[in-house]
Amino acid sequence: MTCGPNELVVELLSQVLISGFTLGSLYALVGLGFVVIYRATKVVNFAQGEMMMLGAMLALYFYSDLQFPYFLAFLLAVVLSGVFGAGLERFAYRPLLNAPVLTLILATVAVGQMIRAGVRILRGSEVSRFPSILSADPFLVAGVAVTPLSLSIIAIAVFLVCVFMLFFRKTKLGKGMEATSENREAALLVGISVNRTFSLVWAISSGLAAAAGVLLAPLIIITPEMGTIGIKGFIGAILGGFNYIPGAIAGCFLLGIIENLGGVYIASSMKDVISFVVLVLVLTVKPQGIFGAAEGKRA
Amino acid sequence: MKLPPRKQVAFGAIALVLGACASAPLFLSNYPLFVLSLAIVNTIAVLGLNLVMGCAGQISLGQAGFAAIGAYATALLVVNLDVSYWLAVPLGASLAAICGYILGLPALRLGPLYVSMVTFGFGLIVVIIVQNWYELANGPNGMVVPPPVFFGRELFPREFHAAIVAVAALLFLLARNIVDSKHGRAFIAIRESELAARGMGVNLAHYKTTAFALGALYAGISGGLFAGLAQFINPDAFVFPVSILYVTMAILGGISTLVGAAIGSAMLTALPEVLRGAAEYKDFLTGFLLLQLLIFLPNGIVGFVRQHFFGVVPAKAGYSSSGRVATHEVLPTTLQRRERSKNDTLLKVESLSISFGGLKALQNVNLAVGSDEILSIIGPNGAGKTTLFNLISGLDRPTTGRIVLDGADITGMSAHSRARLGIARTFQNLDLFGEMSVLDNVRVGAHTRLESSLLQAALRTGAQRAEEARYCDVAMDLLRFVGLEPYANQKANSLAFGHQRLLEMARALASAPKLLLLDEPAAGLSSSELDFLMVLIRRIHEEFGISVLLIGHTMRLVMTLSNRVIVLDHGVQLADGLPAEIQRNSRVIEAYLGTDDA
Amino acid sequence: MLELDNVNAYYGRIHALKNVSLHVDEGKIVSLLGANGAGKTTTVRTIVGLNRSTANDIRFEGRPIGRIPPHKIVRLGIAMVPERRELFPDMKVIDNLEMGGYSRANAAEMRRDLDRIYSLFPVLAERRKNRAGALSGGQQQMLAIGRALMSHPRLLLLDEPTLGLAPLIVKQIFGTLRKLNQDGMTILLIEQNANQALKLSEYSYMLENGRVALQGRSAVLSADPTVQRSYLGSI
Repeated sequence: MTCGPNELVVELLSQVLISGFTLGSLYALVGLGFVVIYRATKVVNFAQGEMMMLGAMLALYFYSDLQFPYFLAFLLAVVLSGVFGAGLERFAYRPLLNAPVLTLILATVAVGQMIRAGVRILRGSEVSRFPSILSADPFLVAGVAVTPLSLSIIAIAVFLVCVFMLFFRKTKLGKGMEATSENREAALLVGISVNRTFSLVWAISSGLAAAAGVLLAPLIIITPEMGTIGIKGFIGAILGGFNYIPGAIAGCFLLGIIENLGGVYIASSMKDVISFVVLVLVLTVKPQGIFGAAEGKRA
Repeated sequence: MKLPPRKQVAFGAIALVLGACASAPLFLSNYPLFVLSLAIVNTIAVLGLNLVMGCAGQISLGQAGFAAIGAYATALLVVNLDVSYWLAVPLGASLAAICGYILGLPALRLGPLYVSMVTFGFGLIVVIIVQNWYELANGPNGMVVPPPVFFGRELFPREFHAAIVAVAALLFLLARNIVDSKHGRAFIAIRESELAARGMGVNLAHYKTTAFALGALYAGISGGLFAGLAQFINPDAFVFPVSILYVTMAILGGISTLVGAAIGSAMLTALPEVLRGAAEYKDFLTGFLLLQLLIFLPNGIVGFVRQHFFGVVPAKAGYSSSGRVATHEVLPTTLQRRERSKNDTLLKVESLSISFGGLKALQNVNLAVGSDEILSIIGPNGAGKTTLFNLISGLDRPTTGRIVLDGADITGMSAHSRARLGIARTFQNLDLFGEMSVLDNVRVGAHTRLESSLLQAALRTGAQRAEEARYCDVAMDLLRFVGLEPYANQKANSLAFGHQRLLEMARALASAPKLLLLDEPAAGLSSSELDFLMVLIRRIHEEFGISVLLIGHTMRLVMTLSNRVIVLDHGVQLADGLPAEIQRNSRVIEAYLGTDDA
Repeated sequence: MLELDNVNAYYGRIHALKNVSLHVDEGKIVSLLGANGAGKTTTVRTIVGLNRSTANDIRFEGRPIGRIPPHKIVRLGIAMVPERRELFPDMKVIDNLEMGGYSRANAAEMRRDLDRIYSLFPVLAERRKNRAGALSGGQQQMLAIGRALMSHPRLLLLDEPTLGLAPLIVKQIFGTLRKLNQDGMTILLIEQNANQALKLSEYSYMLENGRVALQGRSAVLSADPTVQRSYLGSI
C-alpha cells in the first residue's frame, strides 16, 4: 500500500483529532467542575487547575511511591481531593460568602497559589513521570492509529461526565444543587441547606478535577506547574456556553481539537495563545458562548 | 489653609517617607539600596493596579503582563535601536497603555467573570510570546540591558535611584490629581454602581477602557524602570505569580487608597529579601497572606488605620430635631431659573412598548410632560412604572415607540447622553455611591457639566481647578438646600435612610436638569419627612422651573403635588387626568382594590 | 397557631416593621393588607427566617421560631409562596414540584400529594415536562402554590399570589385557596387586591408604614372607608 500525500494528511488529521478529542475530554472533566461552581456561587475557581494537579500528585504518590493498585490510587486521589475541596469551602470560602465576587475570585487565586507552592515544598520542583499502565502501542481503528491509553482516557472521562450529568438531572441531591444555582432563596424555602449544598459543590468539582488530573498523568510530565492546563477547561466551558452544561462540555471538546489543530498547523508553543485568541474572538461576537442561550434565560 | 488632622498626618508622613527615600543613597550600601529601588518600582505597578481595581472596581489579573511589555519594549529599543533609555521607557509604557485600552474593550460588555479570564489570559500570553521569541528577545534566556545613561554619564546606582524616586513621586502626584478630579469620581462611581453612574452621565465605555489604559501605563513604566534597575530581564520576572504578588501588595496596603500601594509593595518587596527563603516558601506565604487579608482585612492596612483612628462619627437618625425644618431658605444660586423651553411639551412618549422574554411589561404607553408640570404615575405593583422610567432615562431600550425630549428624538441615545441633555433621576430602592462622601455623590451628579480632560485633571491646570471649585460650590449649595450640609464629608452609606433619599435628590439636581424623574421618593419616609419632601419638590418645581415626573404610592404626596396623574396597570395606561378625577375613577379604584365580584 | 408579638424588623436600613403583633388561628384564613411598602412582605419573610428577628417574638404552635434558619422552617410545617413566585425556571414543572417535597422522606405520601396537586391544577399535569420558565403567569403561580403544598404544610403563607395576573385566573386562585382552607389548611394571605382578600378571609390586619393600623373581622373592614383611603388617599 502506497502512502501518498493525501493519505498522510488524512492520517495526520485524524491523529490530531484523536489527541484533540482526548485532551478535550479531560478539559470537559475540569470544565464541568468550573461550571458547577460558577452556577452555584458565581465564583471563577482559579484553583481548579491546581486541584487537577493535586489529583495527579496524589495518584502518583499512591501508585508509584506506595505501590497501591491503580484503581485504588485513582479512588483515593479523587476522594481525598473531594474532601480537601469541601474543607476549602468551609474554611476559605464560606467566610467570604457575602463578599463581592472579586474578593472570592482572588481568594481562589490565593488558594491556588498556596496549593502550587505547597506541593513544591513537599515534593520539590522535580518533574516526574507517571508509570505507564497501558501499552503505548497504537492499534488501528478504521485506519486511524489510536493508543489504548487515549481510548481509555476518553472512555473514562466521558463516563464520568455522563455520571455527573445524570446525578444533576436525576437524583434528588443533584437536583437540589441545580435548584440552588437557579434560585438560592427559593431553595432555602423548600428546605435545601445552602451551606451543605456548597460543600457538596466544591467537593464534587474538586473530585472531578482530580480525576482529570489522574487521567492526564500518563500523558504528560507531572510538575507542580501542570495546573495551568486546568484553565483550559474553563476556557472551553466559556467557549461552549458557560450557563448551559451540555454546551460547556461540547465547548471543551471543541477547544481540545482547535488547540491541537492549531498546534500542528501553526506552532506547537503557541497552543495557549491560540486558545485565548479564539476565546476573545468568540466572546466579542457572542458572549454567551457558541452553544449558549441568548439573554433572557435566567443566569 | 489649615488641613483637617487626618490630612495633616498623611501629608507629614508622605513628606517624611519621600525625604527618606530620596536621601537613601547617602547612607545605604548597594544591596539595600537596590531593594529600596525595587520596592519603589513595584509601587508604581501597584499604583496602577489601585487605579484599575481599587478605584474603578475592575479586575486585572495581568498587571505583570503590562510590566513585561514595558520592560521588553524598553530593552529592545535601547539594545537594538539605540534609543535613549529615557525615551524608551515612556515609549514602552505607551505601548503598554494601548494594550491596556484594547484589553478594556471586551471588559465593556462582559462581567467580572470574563474580565478576570481575559486579563489572566493576557498575562499568560505575553509571557508565552516572550518565551518563544528567540530573535531579538532571546527567549527564556532573557536580555541584558545596559545601565541607563544620561547625557553620556552612567547613572548607576545612586543617581538612578534618585531618578526612580522622582518618577514615582510624580506618578503618585498625577494619580492623586486624577482621583481627586471628576474623572476619579467617575471611576469610583462606576465601582459603586454602574447603573447610577450611567444615570449621572458617566460614559461607562470610555471610563472602563481609560482605567485599564492607566493601569497598564503605570505597569509599563514600572517595567521599563525595572529593566534599567536590574539590567537583566527574562520571562520569569513577569509570570502569573508576579501579577498575584502585585494584587496582594495592593490589597495589603489598601486597594482603594493610593498610599497603600507604597506600603504594600514596600512590605512585600522587603520581606522576601529579609526572609531569604526559597521561592516556593515565598509563594506559599504570599498566597496565604492574600487569603487572610481577604477574609480579615479586606480594606488593607491603610483602610484599617483610617477606620480605627480617623473613624467617622455615625450620623444621627432622622431629620433635624425638634421638628425644625432644615433651612432651604437660601436658594442655590447656582441653579438658576430656567427659561421656558421652546416647546410647551418637554417630554413626549409615543406608543412605547417593551417586552421581557414573553412578558409584555409596557404596551403602547403615551404620555406628555409639559415644560412646567409635575406629573405623577401611579398604579398597582408590577404595573410597569419603573420600567417606564428606565426607558425614559435610557437604562433600557423599548421594543417599539419613540421618546422625544424637547423636540429631539432620544429613543436611540445612551443613558449618559440623555443625562447630558437634561434628564436626571432618583431610584426606587436608592442607588447611592455608598463609599463616596455625601459631597462627592452630589459632585458626580454634575459630571456632565465638567469639561476638563483627563490630562488637564492629572496636571491640575488652572482651568480645571477653577471648574472643580465652582462645581464644588454648586454641590455644597445643594446640600445646604436639602439640609445635608453638616454631613458633607461623611460616607453616603452612613446616613439615615431619610437623609439618603434627600442626597439622591441633591445628586440629581446637580446637573441642573430640565426633567427630574423621581421613583418613589417618599417610600419609607416618616410623616414629617414626607412634609419636608413635599415642600422641597414644590420649591424645585416652582423656583427652578424643573419639570417633575414622579412615581408614587404615597397618595398624600401624589394627589397634593401633581398637576396631572397617569395610572398604569399591567403595562397599560388606564387613565390620565387631574388628581381628583383619578381618585373618583372607578376603573382605577378597581385596579387597586380589586373587583367586587366573588 | 402562628403568633407574632411586637416584632421589629429591618429591611436594609429601613425600620420596616415596628412592633407588629398579629396571630393566625388554626384552620382560618387571615389576610394582611396594606399599600406598597407598608411591610407586608417583610412580615412573611421574617416569619420564614429570611429576615432576622429576635429570639422569641414569633411562635408557631406555641414554639418560638424566630431563630430557626430558613431551610429548617419548612420542616415545621410552614410553607411560603413567595412574591413573584421564585420558581426554578430552567427545571421542569415536575422537578419544581419534587423540589417542594425536598424535606420529606416518605415517597408514597409524596406521590399522593402530587396527585392531589394535579387534580387541583390540571394544567400542571398536562405541562409537567415543560420548563417552568416557559409557563404563563397564571400557570407559574399555580406551580408555586403546588410546590409549597408538596411539603405538606399546616400553615401556608402566600405573598401577593395574584400579582400581575388576569382577573379570571385571580378568581381561580382564590377559589383554590378557599378549597384548601375547607380541607383544613391554615392560610395567611398577603394581598394588594384588598376587596377579594377581605371576601376570602375571616380576619384581617392592615399595615401602614410598618405598623398595624387596623385589624378586625374582614366583613367589618370591608365596609370601612379607611381601607380605601389608605390605598388611594383622601378624596
